[in-house]
Amino acid sequence: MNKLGKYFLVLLFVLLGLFAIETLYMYTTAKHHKTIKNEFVKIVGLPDLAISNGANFIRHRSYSDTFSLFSNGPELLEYFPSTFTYNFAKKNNPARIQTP
Amino acid sequence: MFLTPEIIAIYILDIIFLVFASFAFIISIMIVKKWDINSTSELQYSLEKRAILVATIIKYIFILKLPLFIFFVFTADKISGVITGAMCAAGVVNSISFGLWLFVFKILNLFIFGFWIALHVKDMQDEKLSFTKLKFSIFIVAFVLLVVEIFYEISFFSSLDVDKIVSCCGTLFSVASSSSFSLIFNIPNNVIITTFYLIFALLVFFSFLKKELPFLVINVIFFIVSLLSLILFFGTYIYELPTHHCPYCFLQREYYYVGYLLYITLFIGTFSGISGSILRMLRADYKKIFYKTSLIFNSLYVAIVTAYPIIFYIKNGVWL
Amino acid sequence: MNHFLIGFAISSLFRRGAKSFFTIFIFTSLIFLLSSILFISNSIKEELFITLKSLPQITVQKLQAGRHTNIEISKIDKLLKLNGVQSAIPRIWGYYYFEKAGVNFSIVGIDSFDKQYKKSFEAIVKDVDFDELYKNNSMIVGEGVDKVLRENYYQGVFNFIKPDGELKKIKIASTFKSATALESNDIILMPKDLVLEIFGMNKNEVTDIVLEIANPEEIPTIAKKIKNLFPDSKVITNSDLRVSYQNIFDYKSGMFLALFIISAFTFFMIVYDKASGLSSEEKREIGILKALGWKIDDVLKAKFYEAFVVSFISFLVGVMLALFFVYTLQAPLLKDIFIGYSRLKPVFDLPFAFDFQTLFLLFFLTIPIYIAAIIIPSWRVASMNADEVMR
Repeated sequence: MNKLGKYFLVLLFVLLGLFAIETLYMYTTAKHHKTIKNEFVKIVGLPDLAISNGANFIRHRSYSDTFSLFSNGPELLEYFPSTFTYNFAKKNNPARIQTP
Repeated sequence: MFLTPEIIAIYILDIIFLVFASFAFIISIMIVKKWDINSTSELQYSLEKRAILVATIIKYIFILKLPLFIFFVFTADKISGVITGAMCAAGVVNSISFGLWLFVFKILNLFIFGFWIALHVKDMQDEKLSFTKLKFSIFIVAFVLLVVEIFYEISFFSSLDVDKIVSCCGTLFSVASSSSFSLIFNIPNNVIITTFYLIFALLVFFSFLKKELPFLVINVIFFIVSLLSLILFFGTYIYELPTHHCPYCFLQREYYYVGYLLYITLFIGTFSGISGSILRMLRADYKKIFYKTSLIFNSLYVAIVTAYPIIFYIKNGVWL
Repeated sequence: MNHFLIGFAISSLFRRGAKSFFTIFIFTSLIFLLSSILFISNSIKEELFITLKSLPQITVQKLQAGRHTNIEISKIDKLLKLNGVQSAIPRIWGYYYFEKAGVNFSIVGIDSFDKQYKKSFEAIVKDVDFDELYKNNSMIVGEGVDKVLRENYYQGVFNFIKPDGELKKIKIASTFKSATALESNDIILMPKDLVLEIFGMNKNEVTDIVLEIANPEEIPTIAKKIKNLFPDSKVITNSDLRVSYQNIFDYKSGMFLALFIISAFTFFMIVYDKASGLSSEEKREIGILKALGWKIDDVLKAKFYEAFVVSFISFLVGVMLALFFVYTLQAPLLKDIFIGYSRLKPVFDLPFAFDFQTLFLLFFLTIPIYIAAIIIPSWRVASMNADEVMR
């Protein structure tokens, strides 16, 4: 192999090493706060994250039904379809329990 | 229908495969019809060039298909979290009527494409290119199978239904179920184990004898018997649960992904045996190394599956 | 593997430095963008799944005319009679729209600040004085709520407007710890009777009922029974929530991917074009190689090694940059795609979530497309006649 090829091999190993070190570092320093979060959820008991709360029907979207997007306050314009992609089940059978 | 990233990735690759394979298919037909190695015409010259393109395309598809198969199982495993009642890939695959066929086609295509490449390598070493017509005829068949597989795969993902309750491995792979699997549960355990080891002994025997035809047949039988014995007997020891017969669950983390190791060794072992035998039957000067490869990987597979019951027996002092 | 060919491929990449650099740069940015999105969506999903097992096993809500309404408290007795139901707890919660700031708060009621909560409160609430809480009617709010209220000059106290127009003044006792920001940002926790008063709800009605099931295997059967018992109810099981979580983020990253396909295809076209448009110098190079006795296969192999080098370097660099961007820099700009429009944005750290499946997925979405784009152009280049190009 010529000189450039060898440089390339070195570069490859350096990149792979960096990649491994980076993931390992992130893995070891990651903070998940699992117990605190679980403690909190146990008390409040509501699903979903507080990242989308522009309207109340998307805050706890696992609980909301398709109709709820019409029940907003009068000055809240309906901006639902454009800001939140929402995948509702075809058959709105909440418990998804049905006999085949 | 789902729109998960994994499924989109599989769709994209399927479409790329389909487009390229269609190119290769058209060229293959031309080659099969007009190939004449003794001719010095312009046409023959361009066909020879195109043959290389087809070979490249097939290599590309095969090399991607190998990891893609594992990825498919991965994806089915992931989707099992969304489909009610499915605990692993088995539930997802069997929630669609042709799910099992999809799997059969996938494995079959892997074998055929792999064999094609082995044939191609052999062909390129031959200055008369005497297998060219044969290999392109094989590809024409392989193309049809590939199209069927892709068609099945796309309709498989688009007909998955979140609302339907599926029965998973617990019921699918059990004596009581009415699925097509339940038939094989009529085979008693000692029969399948004896057959398994007997076939393996024959395989070892023939690999030392170095006879192609019996070795080929025994490899095919070994592949089928291995899968059956894995479902019927060895699987239960991997799960340490006498009622669990699923051939997918040990692909999951709980069992240290041992399934991938098992299937890969089994595939390499039987594949090298089958393709090697065929190639050697076609040309006597094909190297005999494949007997060794096949033997090593098959033995590795047998060693791993045998280890599970033995370790279980040593630990617990009883058989399941 | 012929290492001379690899060496040749690399030096030919260097010879066309600007061109290769451009390809690597674009490919790296594409991979970077794609992996950032997948990483963000993965870690938000991870965040959701961390708390999944603490959520109620079955939630029973009432639907009237297709809408969620309050459920009668008397139904609890009937629910408790079902076999396997360990406990049934009525809950009162809802949304309070704070018009001045244009934000929604989620108000959750609990059975007064009882001693039983003391331990868990110490874990989740910032320096709480439990006895003080117990005596005075006060509330605990999320950090986001606290911030919004402060901006609107409510310090330590807030006036809720009741349905009849009267004001209800409630003290803010403390805020939740910032570790829970993603869950608690817009939550207000207060005793049940206060919530009832603020919402103007009937005393014998509740928002929903939460069931605890002794044996998790029985959950689907019990859910079915409840549905039969009260046809007007909506029964949400723990596994429904899991499915909902999985779906929403698969859907979001799926939407992004659908857009990504377009850019991937454009990239495909660029690579295809670049690989097939040869300069006269390159043509001469191929001609000389073939005259030296290289076969079509050899030229093709060299081209593939080039492609491999380009895609592998781009892949590694792209994924590494994405990891750094998402988990160290906390994904500025891109995070907003997942957060949506809200004036109550939580300040939160994306938890580290990285698995082989994502790596696999990234691989399949990028490298095969690149290789596919060069197959036909490389073949065309490789199969040119020596005399034709050297002329």
